[in-house]
Amino acid sequence: MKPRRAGQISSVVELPFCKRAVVGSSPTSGFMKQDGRGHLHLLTQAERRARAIFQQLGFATVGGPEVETEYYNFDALNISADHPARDLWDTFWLEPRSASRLLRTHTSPVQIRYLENHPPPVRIIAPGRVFRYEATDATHNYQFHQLEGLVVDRQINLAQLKGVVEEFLRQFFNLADLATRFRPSYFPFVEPGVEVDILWRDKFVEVMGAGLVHPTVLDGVGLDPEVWSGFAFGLGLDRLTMIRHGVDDVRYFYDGHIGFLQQF
Amino acid sequence: MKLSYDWLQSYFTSPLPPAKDLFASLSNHSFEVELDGEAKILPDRSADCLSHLGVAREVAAVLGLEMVAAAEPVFKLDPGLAAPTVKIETLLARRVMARQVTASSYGMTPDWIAQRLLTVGGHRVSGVVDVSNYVMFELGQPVHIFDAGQIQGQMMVRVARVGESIELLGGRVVKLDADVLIIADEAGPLDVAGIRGGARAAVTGASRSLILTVCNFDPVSIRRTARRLDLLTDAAKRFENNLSPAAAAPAMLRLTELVLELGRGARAGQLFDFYPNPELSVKINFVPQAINQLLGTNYTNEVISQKLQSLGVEVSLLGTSWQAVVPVWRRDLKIWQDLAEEVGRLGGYDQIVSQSLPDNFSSVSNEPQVVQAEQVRLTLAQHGFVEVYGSSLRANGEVKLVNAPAVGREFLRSNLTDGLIETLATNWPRRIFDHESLKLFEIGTVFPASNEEKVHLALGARTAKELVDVLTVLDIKASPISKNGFFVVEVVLTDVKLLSAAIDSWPEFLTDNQYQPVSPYPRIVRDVSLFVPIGTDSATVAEKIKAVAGPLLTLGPFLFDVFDRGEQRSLAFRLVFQSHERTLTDAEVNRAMSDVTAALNSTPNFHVRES
Repeated sequence: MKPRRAGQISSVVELPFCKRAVVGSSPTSGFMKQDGRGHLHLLTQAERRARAIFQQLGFATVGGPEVETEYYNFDALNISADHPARDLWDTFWLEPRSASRLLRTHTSPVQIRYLENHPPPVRIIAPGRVFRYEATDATHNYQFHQLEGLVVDRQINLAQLKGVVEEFLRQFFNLADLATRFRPSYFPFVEPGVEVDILWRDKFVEVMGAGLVHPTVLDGVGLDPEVWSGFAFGLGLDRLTMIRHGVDDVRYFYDGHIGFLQQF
Repeated sequence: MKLSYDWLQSYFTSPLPPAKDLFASLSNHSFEVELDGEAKILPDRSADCLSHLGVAREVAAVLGLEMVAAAEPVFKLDPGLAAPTVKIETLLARRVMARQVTASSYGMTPDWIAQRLLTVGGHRVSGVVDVSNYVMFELGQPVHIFDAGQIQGQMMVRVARVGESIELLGGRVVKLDADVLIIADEAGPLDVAGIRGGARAAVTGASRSLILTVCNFDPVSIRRTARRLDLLTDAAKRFENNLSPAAAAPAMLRLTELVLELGRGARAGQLFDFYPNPELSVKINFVPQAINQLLGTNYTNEVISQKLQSLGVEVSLLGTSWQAVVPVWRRDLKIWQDLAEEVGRLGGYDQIVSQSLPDNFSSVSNEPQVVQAEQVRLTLAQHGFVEVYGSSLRANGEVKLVNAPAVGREFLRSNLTDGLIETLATNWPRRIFDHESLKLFEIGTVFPASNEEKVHLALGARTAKELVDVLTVLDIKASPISKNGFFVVEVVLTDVKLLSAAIDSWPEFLTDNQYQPVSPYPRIVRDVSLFVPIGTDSATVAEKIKAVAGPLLTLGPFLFDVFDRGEQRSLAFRLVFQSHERTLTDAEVNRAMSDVTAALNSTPNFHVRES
């Protein structure tokens, strides 16, 4: 085959190329890597990274459904129907509305489903897709990924939550001196509730919500809160990944542009 | 809610730290406050901290400052002005206070009130309206003032009757129904209780005799009505968060005081106060050691007591048990774990020394589906497939959303194939070489029927041939289906059986790469071919091209053709030019290519081939 003249605009190139190649590997524009391997999605990579870190700390990975009932997504998590806290989660409801089925707004329902079927001690993470009915822009999308963590045992405390979260964040960002900050916050299914920030390029950036499992939640799954305690956290995988890799628009994760995917 | 720094300062004699530091302290110990004073008050604190008094109490506790004792409002009541009577016909009214004030006229809003309203984003309406708004921002208790001259007969609090409607302040007319709580007179509705006043008895410049009302309503009723009527007002926000009925009394005193100051020759009448079930203080028994155990701290009993007392909680030792009496405004403190949070946040979460979990979890077993998805992903990536994440919401499917986020996103996806084919089609023109292999896959949840949720795997490419090898490895029997010029196979993930388990090759696929912006502008592709002496490293040639092609070279050079002729070797490279700012012109790219040609030709024994 003949290469096109320098200066000519490409429309169609005659191939097969490389028929006569005697050196090097076959050419690729980067759909694949130079050695012919493909690419795993950056969020898969992030999830894998997270799972590997938590696995060392004794956490097993479990899943849960994306379509949930109002009970698991809200009520069992101490978010009752007429409570203003419901406003913190903009929800996609499924037809018919009377069936009260929804797209899970967080991975927290997995806490309830798991505790219903597994006696403590429990140490799990649950990564997965979640949904919020909100306007889409560079930092918000109607679908994104969370990673839920749950520990239930005797005498679990806030200091351990801090320890686990800090350890995870340091390893995830591969920065031994990553600064973290824990601030008071409110989620009905934990008490106390905190928000966790990391210091990234001289600014604190919020990366997750967490807290000690609310006694009402434990009680609801038949665990005595005077015997068992636990902590839970929910981190935004998209957000952590955007920070780690400098991605400036969450929508790149979902629009399948090869020019984005092939970078990782 | 927007906070006013000066307003907060007015509660203290000692100077507060600069705004930046004050708001940072609140963020670290109470709730998030941005640099401009915007406080993110979540539902747990909306009953007390949607007010400057509430936030000042937090400031006092966080910074250990003493608040100025509030001066008791002083005014004389006119014994000749009887208390208005309000007929209460529903249990949804937890407290109703009312008082008449008369004056020959009412003055303008005092400057200090106007100033404070302005800094918290309020706007001036009239003296009487402004002071009632002011009381809400100061104390967190919504209040409402009626023009007594417009009220016909008996005032009452009741639920609306089907078919009733009301013209609101601002002119909007809303239809009411049987569970809307209203304030009414004998002529009909006057006010959507706790949410928005009506136009009929609104205070105007001509008003002389006023009815001041301060009430408390059932939070669920308020929330439902506010949402149904789409009246998410400041007042509704406070009531729906279960404001304490005890807060009404100080607000009535303050409101009376401020209205009297506005009025010329003003007189205030006796008080009507319907409060059938006065709320009792919440008492919580607690064990200080349990608080320490939950936090992982070692605070002494004295420190724990002192922190709780700084919030207005009364702490006492009853025999061997500790008891906390919660102040009426703290509606969020109900169980001892709530007290633990107060101790923890006031002490500062940064003061809690991190601990490890006990090392008693040796075996970790992940769910089989997690392991399987991982192996399938690795296998596909090793075979050159690129993983995509598609949209769960599509224009077609079996399960419909009540509230779609956009046109074309009304259904949950029933398969992965449709999305994957679209992604193949949009990416196909992005290839650099014509017969380049574009192989994509997705693992994701689909909803094929109303009550069905499954995890599927779909993989696709331009030709069926490109799928064959990996289908064998994955032991997938299904044949690729052809659609829109691509071939796709979709199966239930758990049906995939790996013929040879993928080795754990994760490290090869984990990158630390930083994202490079993807240009939305079209690209221009050019080739260059040259003769070099046999033995010349093609990578060196590529480097040389890259070094002189300029910043518009975004991809390549890709070596795509090599052959030998005598002592010479022909190399052909493809270069892709693209700008992040604009559509490139041929002339720009021609200049870059001339630089490439010149640089190559100036290298000894290199000859760019002309065609």
